[in-house]
Amino acid sequence: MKKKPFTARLRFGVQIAFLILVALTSLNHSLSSYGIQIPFFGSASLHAICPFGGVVSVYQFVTIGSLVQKVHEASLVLMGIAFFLVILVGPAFCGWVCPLGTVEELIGKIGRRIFKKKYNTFVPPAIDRYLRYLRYGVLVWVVYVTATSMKLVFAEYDPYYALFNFWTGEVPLTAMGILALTLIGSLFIERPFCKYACPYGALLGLFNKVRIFTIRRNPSTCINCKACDRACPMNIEVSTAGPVRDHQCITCMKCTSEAACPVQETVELMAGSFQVKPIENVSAGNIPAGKEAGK
Amino acid sequence: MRTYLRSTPLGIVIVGLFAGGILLSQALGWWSTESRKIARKITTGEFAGKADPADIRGSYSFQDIEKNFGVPVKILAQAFAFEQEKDPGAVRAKDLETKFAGAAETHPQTQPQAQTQPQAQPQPAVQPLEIGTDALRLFVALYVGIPYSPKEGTGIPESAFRVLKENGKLSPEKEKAILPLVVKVGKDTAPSGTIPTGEKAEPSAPISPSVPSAGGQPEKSPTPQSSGGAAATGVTSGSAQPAGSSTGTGGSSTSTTEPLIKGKTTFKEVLAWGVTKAQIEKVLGCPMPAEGTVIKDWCASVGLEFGTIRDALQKLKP
Repeated sequence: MKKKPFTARLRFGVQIAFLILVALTSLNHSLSSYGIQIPFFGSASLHAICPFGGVVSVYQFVTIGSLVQKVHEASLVLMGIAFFLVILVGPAFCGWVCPLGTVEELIGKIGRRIFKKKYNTFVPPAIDRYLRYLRYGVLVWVVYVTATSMKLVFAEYDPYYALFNFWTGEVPLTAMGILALTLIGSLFIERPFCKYACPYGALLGLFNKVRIFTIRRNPSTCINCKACDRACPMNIEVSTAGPVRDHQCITCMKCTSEAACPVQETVELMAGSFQVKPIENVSAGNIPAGKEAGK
Repeated sequence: MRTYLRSTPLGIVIVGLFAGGILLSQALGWWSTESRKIARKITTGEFAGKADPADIRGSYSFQDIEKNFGVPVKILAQAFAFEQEKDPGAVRAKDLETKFAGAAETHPQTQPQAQTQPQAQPQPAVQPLEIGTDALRLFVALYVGIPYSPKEGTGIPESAFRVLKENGKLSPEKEKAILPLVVKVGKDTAPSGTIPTGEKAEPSAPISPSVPSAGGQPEKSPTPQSSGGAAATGVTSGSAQPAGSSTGTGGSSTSTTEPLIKGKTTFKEVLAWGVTKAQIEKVLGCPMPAEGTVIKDWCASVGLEFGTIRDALQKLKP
C-alpha cells in the first residue's frame, strides 16, 4: 500500500485535532446543563467559537457597537486570526482547520473508495463552473439578513451548527436537512458545501487574489503530468496556472511537490516567483525516488 | 526573492496563530465565549439605571435573575413550579419552554378585544400561548414594576399569577390586564381568586410604569404606552387612555388608539407613513439602521427602552 506523503498526514493530524477540540467544546457546553464536564476542554456554544459569527456581526458592531445575539467576543478574535492567516497563506482555515470540511473529507474517503477515479467528477464542468459562484450569493444574503434582522439567521440553515449540536434538539430541521445533504453529497463530490454554499469559504476565497504566500507552479520544470490537477480536491487546474489565484483554493498542499507533484520545487507554496529555468534542466535526478508522474 | 513555506512550518503557523491568538486575547481580557449575564440597564425615562427585564436571555438562570433584578430564586421556583428541583437557582429561562411544552396550548383564553369595541363581549377561543423565556421576562417585569411588552403568544402559568398576587405585585388594573395571558397548567390549582376567563381585558398596552405594585392606589400612567406586541397586556383598561390616543370624547374610541408600532414593526413601515429619515434619526439620536430592521430588536441591541422609542416614533405619524 502506497504510503501517504508527510504533508497529508500532518494536515490530517491538524484537522483531526481541531475537529476533536470543537466537538468536545460543544459537547461540554451541552453537558454543563447536567453539571458534567469533560476535563481539559473548555465549554462554549458553537456560535461563540465560529469566526463567521464575527463576520456577520461586523455591520452591527460598527454601526451600533454590539454583537449579534449569541455571538460573543471570541468570534471576533477568531475572525481576526483567520483574516491574518488568510492574508498570509490563503484560506488555510478551510483546508486545515474547519471541522465541517474535515468531516466532508472523511466521508469523501468512502466515496473515493466506492467510485475510484470517477469520484469528484460527477458535476459537469459547464454547470460546476457557475455553481461555484453560488456561495457568493449565500454570503451576500447572510450578511444582509443578519445586518437587518440583528439575529443569527444563518443558524437556521448552518450545517456546521447542526453537526455539533444535533444531539441538543435545538437544531432547526432546515439545518439538519442541509447537513444531511452535505454528508450524502460528500460521497460523490469532494467538499460539496465548501464548493457551492459556504459563505465563509466564499469570503476567505477572495483573499486568494492577494495572499502573500501563494501556490505557484514552475512552468520551466513542470512535466505536464497533471498530477496536481488530479490531487486538487477543489478541481482547480493547477497545471495551467502560474500562481494559483483561483478563489476556490484552500491551501491543502495536496498539489505541491511535497505531495502530488513528482518534480522537486515545481509546485510550491511560496512568496515571490520561481526563477525561470530552461526545460532541459528537468532531469530524472529532480524526481524523488518513489514518485511517478501521474500517480 | 523567493521564500518557500512547506507543510511543517505551515502547520506550525496555523496551530501557533490560533493557540497564540487565543491565549493573547485571554490575557488581554478579550476572549469571551458566553454572555456575562449582566442585564442591560434602562437608559432613559423613569426607570433609567434599572436592569431591563427585556434583556433576559434563554441562558439566564434563576440565580442570574436574582442577581440582576432582586427577584428571589425561591419566588421564581414557586412561580414556575420548580420547587421540587434540587437546585432551582440553576434552572435556566429556556428550560421553561421544555417544562411547559404543549401545556399551554389547549387552555381556553379570553380573546383580546380591540379597544375600538369597548362594549363587545370577549369571545372564548383556544389560543395557543407559549410559556418560555418571554414569560419569565413578563413575570420579572411585573414583580419589579417595570413596563414590558410581551411578545405575541406569550402566556404565564397560573402559579406565576398566584405568586404575583400573593406578593402584592398586581394592582387590580394589572391583574385585569394579564388575565388573558394566564394559562392553567397541569395539576396547578386555581389561584386564590378564580380566573374570570370572560373578563374584559385591554391587551393593547404594556405594563404601565406608574403602577408600581398592588396594594397601592393604581394610578394612571402619565404616559401610558401603547402596544409593543399584539399580546401586550395593558393596564389602561376602563377609562384610561393610551398616550397619543384620541380624546375619547363621548365615550367613543377612535382608530388612533390602535397600536401603530408593534414588536415586529420595522423602520421601513414607519417611513411608509410619510415620516422622514431625519425625523426618525432625531428620535433615535443616532443614524437610522437599515430600513428593514425591526425597531424592537434594534432598541434591544443598543440598550434603549423600546416603549420610549416607540411612543416617540408614534407621535411622528402625520
